[in-house]
Amino acid sequence: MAQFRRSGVIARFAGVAAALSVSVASQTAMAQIRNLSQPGAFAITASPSGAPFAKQGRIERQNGASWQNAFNEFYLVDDCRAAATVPACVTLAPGAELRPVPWNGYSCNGQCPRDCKGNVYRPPGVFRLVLTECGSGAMVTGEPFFMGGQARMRDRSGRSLPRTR
Amino acid sequence: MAAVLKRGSSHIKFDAFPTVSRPTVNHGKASFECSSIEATGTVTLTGSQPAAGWALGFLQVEWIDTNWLYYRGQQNDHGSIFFQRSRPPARPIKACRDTIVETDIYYDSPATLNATDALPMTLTVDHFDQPSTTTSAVVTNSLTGEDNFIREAQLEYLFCTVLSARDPAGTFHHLKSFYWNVRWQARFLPHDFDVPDGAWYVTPIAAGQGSARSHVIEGEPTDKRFKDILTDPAVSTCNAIVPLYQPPPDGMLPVGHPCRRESSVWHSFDVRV
Repeated sequence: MAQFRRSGVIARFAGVAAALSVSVASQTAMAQIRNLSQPGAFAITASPSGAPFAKQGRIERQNGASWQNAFNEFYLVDDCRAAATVPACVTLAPGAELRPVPWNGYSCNGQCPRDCKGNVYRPPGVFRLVLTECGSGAMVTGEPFFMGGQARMRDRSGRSLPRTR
Repeated sequence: MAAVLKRGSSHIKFDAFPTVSRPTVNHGKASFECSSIEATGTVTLTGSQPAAGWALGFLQVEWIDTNWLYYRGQQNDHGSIFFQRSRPPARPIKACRDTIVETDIYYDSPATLNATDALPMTLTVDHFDQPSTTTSAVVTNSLTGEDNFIREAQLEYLFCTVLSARDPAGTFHHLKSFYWNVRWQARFLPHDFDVPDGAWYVTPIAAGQGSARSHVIEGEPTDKRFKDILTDPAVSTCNAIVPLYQPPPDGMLPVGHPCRRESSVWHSFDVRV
């Protein structure tokens, strides 16, 4: 397990290596985001100097030539129980890898359980993960990935609830 | 003639009907989930350009919210806790506007007409919603210091969804609407009070568990309980008020909050207030 540090707070996370996308320079400077085989799952690998990120990233959806926000509460945690207490800015230790809880395609409870009234299943479509560097506000953008339209809501035990259509 | 709505051309087609699931308790969390409601709305615009700026989308309000949770200890002197999450100050308003993006008026992105579109043209927009909630299964009673376990909960979300066109001047034309709701009520009991992260007995209360959807209603909604907030940007959106009754870090109202009532024994709280 790699470690995130901030003001004495240490949160534990997991790790791997990576590929890039749009902002190659910034990715190389801070971290790399690699799409895993499960759509919505990522591995974030810090550069040798470490990577300080805002605790919340976002998922964007491709709409023609532009990208639109699809989910803006993507927490950099590998366990949803840590989402409520993760500090505003977290630092991925040099070379460490984090595999956050994957995005499941929903606009509201897309990563961790929460109360939702409006809650849209965003796929099918092409999406990407965007992270913000703490301090500079620089963006680190993951490679685009496709998520299909077969919505399956999973609870945290892994049981799947088929969606009728 | 500029672009206009073709009289009688609006339609709502229902796709998926929401079905509530039996509540579950996993890893110390009670979850209330349902399948999605889905619908498709259409309207045709006729006339001629300029037509850019016309939009078609769904508006949604949650006009009734029932949301209470009852916890009690393993024994009478372990106490009980009642969370009334659908009354002020936990929920300061009765009806809220339901949108995906807080600053939007439409529930989700509308379909729009461009300056290059040839008329007549039919705009089509999809609607999808899948409400859910989750809560801690165990809460510490501040009067007894003992763990209290979720014993019963009732959650009812009642919505009205409106197909509405917006003209280039920004005026909304409400075309059709329908009501729908999802409701959960169940009693809970851990198999083993010493292992609350383990299995639980969950017994739904038949009359309190279910879902419903009305037929399509023509024209502008006249229901005074929410008709004035459909497009009012000053009204809080439903997801935005969640932190008031489900505050971080654990989603539970803190000790001393007016909507959290505690007793040092198994108390029968009045769920109506």
